[in-house]
Amino acid sequence: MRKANHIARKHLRRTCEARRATVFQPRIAAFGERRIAEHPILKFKRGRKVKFYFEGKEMIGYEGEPIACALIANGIKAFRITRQLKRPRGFFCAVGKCSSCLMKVSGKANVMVCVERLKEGIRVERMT
Amino acid sequence: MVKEYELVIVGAGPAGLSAALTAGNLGLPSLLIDENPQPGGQLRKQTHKFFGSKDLFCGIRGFEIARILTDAVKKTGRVQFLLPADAIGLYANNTKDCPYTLAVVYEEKLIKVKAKAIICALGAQENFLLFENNDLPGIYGAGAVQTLMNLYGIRPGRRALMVGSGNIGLIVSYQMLQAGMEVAAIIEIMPEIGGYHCHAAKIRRLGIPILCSHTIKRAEGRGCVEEAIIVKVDKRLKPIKGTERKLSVDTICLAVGLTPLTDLLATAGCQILYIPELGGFVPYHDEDMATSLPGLFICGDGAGIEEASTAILEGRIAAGSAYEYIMGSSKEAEGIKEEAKERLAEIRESPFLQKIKEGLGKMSALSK
Repeated sequence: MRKANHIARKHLRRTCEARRATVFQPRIAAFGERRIAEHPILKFKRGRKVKFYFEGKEMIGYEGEPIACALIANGIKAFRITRQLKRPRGFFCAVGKCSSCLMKVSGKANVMVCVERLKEGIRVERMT
Repeated sequence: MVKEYELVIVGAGPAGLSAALTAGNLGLPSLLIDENPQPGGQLRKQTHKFFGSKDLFCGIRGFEIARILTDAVKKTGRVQFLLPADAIGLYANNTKDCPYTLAVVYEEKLIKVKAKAIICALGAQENFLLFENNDLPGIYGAGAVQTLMNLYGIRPGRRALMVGSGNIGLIVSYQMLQAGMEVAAIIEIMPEIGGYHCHAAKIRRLGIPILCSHTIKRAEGRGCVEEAIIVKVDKRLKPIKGTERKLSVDTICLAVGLTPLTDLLATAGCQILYIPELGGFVPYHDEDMATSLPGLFICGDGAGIEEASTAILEGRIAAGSAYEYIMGSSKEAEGIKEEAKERLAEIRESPFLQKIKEGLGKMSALSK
């Protein structure tokens, strides 16, 4: 039983590793592509535009919005890679409950980026 | 740092704001805390007009109700806001004059807040669903999609599949259309649509299929969701072989129910019961919204999954009870409570809320 588990896990890890190539190179969305410009009912108050870095790449977001929102607006969906099975994980609950979005922010590990606010110049990295 | 208050209200959603408003009007100095930077809770994410009666804000859009309630609470001048602050622990001290201590994290510092009475309007958390690859990025809870679209103006994707046709599923699907997304379909495992038919009709008029007796089998994609495989189910809710269909979507939104948040109440030692009709584990409470611990009251979705209108009424009852607990019996508080209880009974006559009535009946039976 234990051996079978081990083999299954090894197999899963291999297939996941094959997938990683696409995980690590997401298509970066153009600025404003995912932002709602006009809404029939709501008006959005956005902070000033600031630069921040995701895995060393420069990106633009609005100050004060959750970091996760800025990442999604830039086309980043995978926020971390799980330790054992190397599976990508993204945004899920948006309210700091589910731990799916833990990332490294300016050197600090395990930051819930769905509630942490965006500041100028922060460096956001995936944890593996 | 230690602070002392007569009453502390945890959670500034519809229930908490309503409790704060009632307490403020009764003249009770209280503190309202919430983990979000703005009060309003889930109301802030709703773009549709509510219905019901006038004093429960019918005809007004959810995000506007949040503003109206917040302004009314501020106007009483008796309620202090502490935002954003996380309540991480609640302890019963067993001393007569100040029986509760609440541990709060505010601006990355721990504050101890002492109170004579506490109202917990904690709300709920979303349920998750088991299916293959349910951890792929692109699978969101309905609340997360609302947060992204309606608070921050970001589309989570281009084309979505909604799982669940309760009111949340229907409303969020409509909101996705408002935000400029496509909705491939809404699927529902039960043979009938779960939510109100006026919401379902709005969706259907726009040509979006609501597929009853369907469930999601698998999500597929490299690195994020690219396809969803849905399947028909039989009367016993078992998938029927050969009825699988592929939908090309980049977002899967789960609206499969809510569970009351009970962790804070559990740390205080409240009696907690398992009642599926109310959403799972629920703290015991009586008609006056009092839990098994004296001086600790609850209201809103945290006391059983219902609606914003009933949450507002429950907030009034909880605040009235807390006032009487601190100040002794009062005619004014009694009047507010009686009126709210009557209205609550009226609303719960609705065929959509029969489950709640059953659940509350079970609760009083189980606690004995």
